[in-house]
Amino acid sequence: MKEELTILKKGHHQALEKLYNEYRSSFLQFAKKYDLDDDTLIDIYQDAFIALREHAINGKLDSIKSTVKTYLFSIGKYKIYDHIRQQKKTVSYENTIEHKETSTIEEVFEEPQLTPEQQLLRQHFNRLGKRCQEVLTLFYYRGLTIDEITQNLGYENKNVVKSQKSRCLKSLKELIKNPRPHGT
Amino acid sequence: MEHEELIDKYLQGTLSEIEKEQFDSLLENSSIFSKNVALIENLKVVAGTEDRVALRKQMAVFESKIDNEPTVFSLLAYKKYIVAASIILLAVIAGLTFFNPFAANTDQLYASNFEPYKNVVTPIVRGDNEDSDEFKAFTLYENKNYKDAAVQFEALFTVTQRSYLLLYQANALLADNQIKKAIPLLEKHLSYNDELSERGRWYLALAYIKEKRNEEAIILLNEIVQNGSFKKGSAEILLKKLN
Repeated sequence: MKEELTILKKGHHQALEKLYNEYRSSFLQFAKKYDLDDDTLIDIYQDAFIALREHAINGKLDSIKSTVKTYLFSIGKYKIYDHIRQQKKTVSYENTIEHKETSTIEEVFEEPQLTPEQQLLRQHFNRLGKRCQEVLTLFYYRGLTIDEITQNLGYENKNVVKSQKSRCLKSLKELIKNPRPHGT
Repeated sequence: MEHEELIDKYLQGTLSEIEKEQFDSLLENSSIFSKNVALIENLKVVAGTEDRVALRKQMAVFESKIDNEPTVFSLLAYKKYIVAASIILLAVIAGLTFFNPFAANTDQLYASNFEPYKNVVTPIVRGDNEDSDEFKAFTLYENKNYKDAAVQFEALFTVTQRSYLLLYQANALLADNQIKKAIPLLEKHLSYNDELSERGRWYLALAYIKEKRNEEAIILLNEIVQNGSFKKGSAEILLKKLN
């Protein structure tokens, strides 16, 4: 299980793809009984996978008793019920046993609405170089240590990463102070 | 200790007692420091949003690699059941068409199926993102500012003639409930036959339904079912309700 958490947090493309595919087929199999079309189920699976990674990053998966797969399926099941409820296909959603079971996952992830300030910051962030975005994301969002980032991105030593991070932060502050006009 | 290092330690929860006091005091007394803390907290949220967009793109790539061929089994063994089932199905469809017991409420059908199409083509791509007008338009779109996004997409299409911009302009208009304006754009988008044309077909069908142009919608939905990929299942359900 520790290995799965590492994959989710560090997100190497191939390992993540393997994990995605591994759970995908059994999820689709399991979700067949809900009579939803494949596109909808894949959308739900992807939302659940995003929520799973979110929980891994927030440390919510550190102390779970079930396997990661069971946890993912519970999120998926919750989302299926939510979808069905929105489509108003069931009447007694609130009372179903399944709903009670799945509601133990207290917070299934919802995409946050960005404040106007954050929307602006997002534009500046996207003007940074790819390496900068990567370093800042791994450090501030995924919560990796400088050592882990050094290893993850194949830098020579951690001092390079440290100064890279400071430089990127400085560039971001510069962009906030003197925003470049669009198209330049 | 540098401000940056102090904030990092705060985020990681590794401040010592003395550092914590220093942090609290700076937060209270230095406006530059508190601005920096706010910036990092916002950065955390923004980087997360971008990271999830990137994950969605990765998953779309994973999906494109998955072979979607249905499981093959011996058709012969099931032939008689298939024939029987087809006859029953035809009879049911004929019955439903004839009696039409459920006159479809097209507004409801539209509302329960329409959801603005995700930003898949482009860019809010990380790094090397130089096409800033397009970036701006998609940012507006993703932030659900559909009115402004539609204006931006229109301007961009005039300059670049990229066909997918029509699809997104139309989606922004649909989301803003400007169905009549969206329809000609979707029709135009279809004529380009680009890689998003199946998506375009689906949204045009929905727009027709909303405008009670059911016959035109049915033609498109049948094409979607025949092409058998995007939204096939949803199209089948809609067809049943419209017929």
